[in-house]
Amino acid sequence: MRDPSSFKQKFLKKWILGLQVCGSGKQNMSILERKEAIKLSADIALASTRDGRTRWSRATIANASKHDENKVLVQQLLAPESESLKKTSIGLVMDNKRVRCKKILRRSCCIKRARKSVSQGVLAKSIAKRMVNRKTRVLKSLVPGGEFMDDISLIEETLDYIESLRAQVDVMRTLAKATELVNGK
Amino acid sequence: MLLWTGFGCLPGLSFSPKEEPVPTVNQLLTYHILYYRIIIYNKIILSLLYNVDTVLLASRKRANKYMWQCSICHLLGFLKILRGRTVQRNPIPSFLSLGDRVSLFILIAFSPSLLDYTFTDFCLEQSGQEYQIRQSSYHNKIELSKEKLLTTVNSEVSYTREVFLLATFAYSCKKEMDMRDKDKFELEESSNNPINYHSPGGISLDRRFNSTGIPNSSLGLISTDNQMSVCRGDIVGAASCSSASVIDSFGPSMWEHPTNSQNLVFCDVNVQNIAGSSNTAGIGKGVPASLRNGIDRTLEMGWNPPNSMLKGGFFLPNASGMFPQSLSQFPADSAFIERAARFSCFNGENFNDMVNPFGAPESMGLFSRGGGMMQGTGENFMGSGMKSVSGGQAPKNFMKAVEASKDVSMSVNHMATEGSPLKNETKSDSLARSRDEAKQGMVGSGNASDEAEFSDGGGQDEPSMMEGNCREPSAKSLGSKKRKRNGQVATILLNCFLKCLSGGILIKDAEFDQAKGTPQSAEPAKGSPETQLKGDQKPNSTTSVDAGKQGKQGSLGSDQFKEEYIHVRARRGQATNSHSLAERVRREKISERMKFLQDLVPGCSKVTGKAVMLDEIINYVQSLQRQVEFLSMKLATVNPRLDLNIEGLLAKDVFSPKILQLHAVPPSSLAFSLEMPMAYPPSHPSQPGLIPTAFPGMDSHSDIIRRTINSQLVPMTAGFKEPAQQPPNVWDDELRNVVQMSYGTSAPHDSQDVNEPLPPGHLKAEL
Repeated sequence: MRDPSSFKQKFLKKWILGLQVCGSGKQNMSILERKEAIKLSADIALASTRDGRTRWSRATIANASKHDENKVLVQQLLAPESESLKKTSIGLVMDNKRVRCKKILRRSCCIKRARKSVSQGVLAKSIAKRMVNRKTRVLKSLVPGGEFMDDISLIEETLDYIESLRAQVDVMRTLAKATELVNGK
Repeated sequence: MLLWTGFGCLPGLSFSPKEEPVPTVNQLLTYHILYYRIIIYNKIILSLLYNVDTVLLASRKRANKYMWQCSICHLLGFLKILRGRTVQRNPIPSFLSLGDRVSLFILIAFSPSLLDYTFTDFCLEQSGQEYQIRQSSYHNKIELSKEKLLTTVNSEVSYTREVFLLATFAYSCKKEMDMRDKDKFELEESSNNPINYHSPGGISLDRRFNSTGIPNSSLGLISTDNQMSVCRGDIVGAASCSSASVIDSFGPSMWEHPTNSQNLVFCDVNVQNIAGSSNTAGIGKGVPASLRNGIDRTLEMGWNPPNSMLKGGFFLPNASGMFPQSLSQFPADSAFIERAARFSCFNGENFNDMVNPFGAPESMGLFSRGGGMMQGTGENFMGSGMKSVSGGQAPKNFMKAVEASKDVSMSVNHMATEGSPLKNETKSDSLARSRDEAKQGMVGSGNASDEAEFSDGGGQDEPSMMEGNCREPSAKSLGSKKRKRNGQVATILLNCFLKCLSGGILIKDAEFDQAKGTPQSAEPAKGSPETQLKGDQKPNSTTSVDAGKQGKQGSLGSDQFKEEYIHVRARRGQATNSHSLAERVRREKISERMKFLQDLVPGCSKVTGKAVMLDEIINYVQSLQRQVEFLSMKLATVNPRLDLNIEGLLAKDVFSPKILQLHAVPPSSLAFSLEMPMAYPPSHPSQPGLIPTAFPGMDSHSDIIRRTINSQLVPMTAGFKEPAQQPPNVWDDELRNVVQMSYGTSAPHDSQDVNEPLPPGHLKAEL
């Protein structure tokens, strides 16, 4: 487990940096815009804090880089990081596209087998399997970049993602509280 | 208090065939029997074996290969310990059931170091008495034999039927040993009338039993194979007697040739040998000749389930009281292996017959039968003999018999039929299961094969017997398929045994430990059906995946003598191609990782199953993501500008220790949040005062603060695209320095220089 406090520090640092980058652009942003900016910078900061060691972080960065407006932010945040990270992120997008295409192709070519009548036990098993598959799909949609992972790595990524999310939530919450307090008084 | 408690944690077993006396199969069998019961009586188990890996015990799964393996492991360890220590005579807990006590007794009997335990210690008298009484109603012969037996029996000890049966079993084993070793067997009047309860007769019986197998035959165990046929009836009768004397007589003789008996796994002659040997052991207890004969007969049957025989035989000798037997020596020599191999070809029919009698109720019936047998001749003897033997097999059965008197009546009926169908059915199932487990265990333990086999057989027999007992033995019709199953089971058992013999430690202890350690992987296999039909045997695949994954042994071909270090076993009923195995490996990987997730996701500790776990995980991730959204919205609301308003934060005297306490956030975040304001402009002299009040572990957060300050400084200069902007000049030099150090990203030096950091005091406090 990585050190949570140092992780948080890094995250906060990057986040604020990103906020600066975002905020420096516009002066009057609507609340939603601000929120988006905050969230985006937070997400990218989180992903970059992970240094692209995990797939989800790379996927996040890759997704963010897709939009040009974010590119600056991403670059700013990733400036200290190695350039290879950026490249892998970009490459990840391509890989994911490839994987996705392959999956679509496979599914289209797959012949649907006729459903045979199965015994009770097997039926229960198949139901369970379907449930698990469904939930796995949901999880894949939640975890950034999850659609392209197999089950095993999906779970590992989820583990890491949950941890990072926790740290992110902690940092944000603390900041929000502090800000609240400051503003409140 | 408990027998084992004194031994602490059983050491990891590293039995090797070369090791000096490893527990015999009998011992294992006994243990298995005991252990199996323990599974049923969970509390007893836990109290008894609290030093044992309680995970096993808690599983409560009878058909648990892992459990069996561990039981074997523990048994061996236990026996090892027993052997290695001077035994203090711990009182046998009285809360144990009769069967348990019998098992314990036998178990201890096997250990040479526990010789000072006597039968009486196990408080078997009482139950034995009742049992005998109950039995007496069945046949005169039993009574007669009992009487005769008792005359020669040491009156101090009362032997329960089980004990008797056990003795017969032991005798059979012994006989096998005798026969195998071709020692001198003073096979006296093998043709003697089995109903020779007197000592001499008993002795002869013993001798009969003690065929070649008995190496030492110091007891004068003589076995005459020839006489086996004659003796069968005796065995039966003897079994019915179930008198301690029999056991006693068996015992010594049995123990004379520990090795022989040890190797009794499937020795047709063993039974006879044992019976004979035990008698001739000269224990002085007149083993009823009938008993011996009966045993002999069973042995002669061709291949009476040595297990049952052995059990009975062994138990009996044990009961008689710890003969100093060097039990360990199961001669895993080639001769024995050959013989074992021979057994693998055992005719299923015989085995069925053998197995059947092992139901406890059956045993009762066996007794009666045995009694009748004694006098009679012919097939009956065989069946009854076997039954009696089988009856003696399982203490459990015994227990059941005691508890379910009805069984006794049933047994009588069954007696009539060759091989109780009920027993067969039940036995086959449980037997298969137990055998499976036992086999697994055996393999896993890698102990002396015979021991494993024994336990295998024992374990298997036990459950079968138990079930047989449980079910109303009303079924007279014995499904032929069940018989076949039994035969197959027997074959499988044999195979397993042979494997053990040939390979010694077939499976490394590591695997065994892994099996222990991975109950999960084992448990699915455990639950699988017990009966291992020979036809269902699947070749074990030796996929070297994640060592330690042991599924149920799919197959144990008789030809699988060569050792196969199987790391991934094909589960029973599953294909064994690489795909399914890889699939299994993958599944196990996933479940491993799910466990990690369980720790991470709160409230998931009790959840099992992929779907539910995934549900929880999804919920948690979603909740976290929603929190992020919410917090970002909150921050957006709070900050009119996208700068987090650090200025404002610092400008206000809001930070005080109270704030710190209010925050329930982790210290890290708390610290840095407070620090942020604290690090704020020196323009507020009051602030510095606040700083020192502060923080819980600030040291680690000084960086954060600095960075925060830095970053804040940048936006404060309003809208700089580049981070390297001129920070406000309000900062002290200190802050500047700090910022310089911490703000390593893109802050230009000039900007940092411009920084007027807070008075050193501010930061110092934080730092």
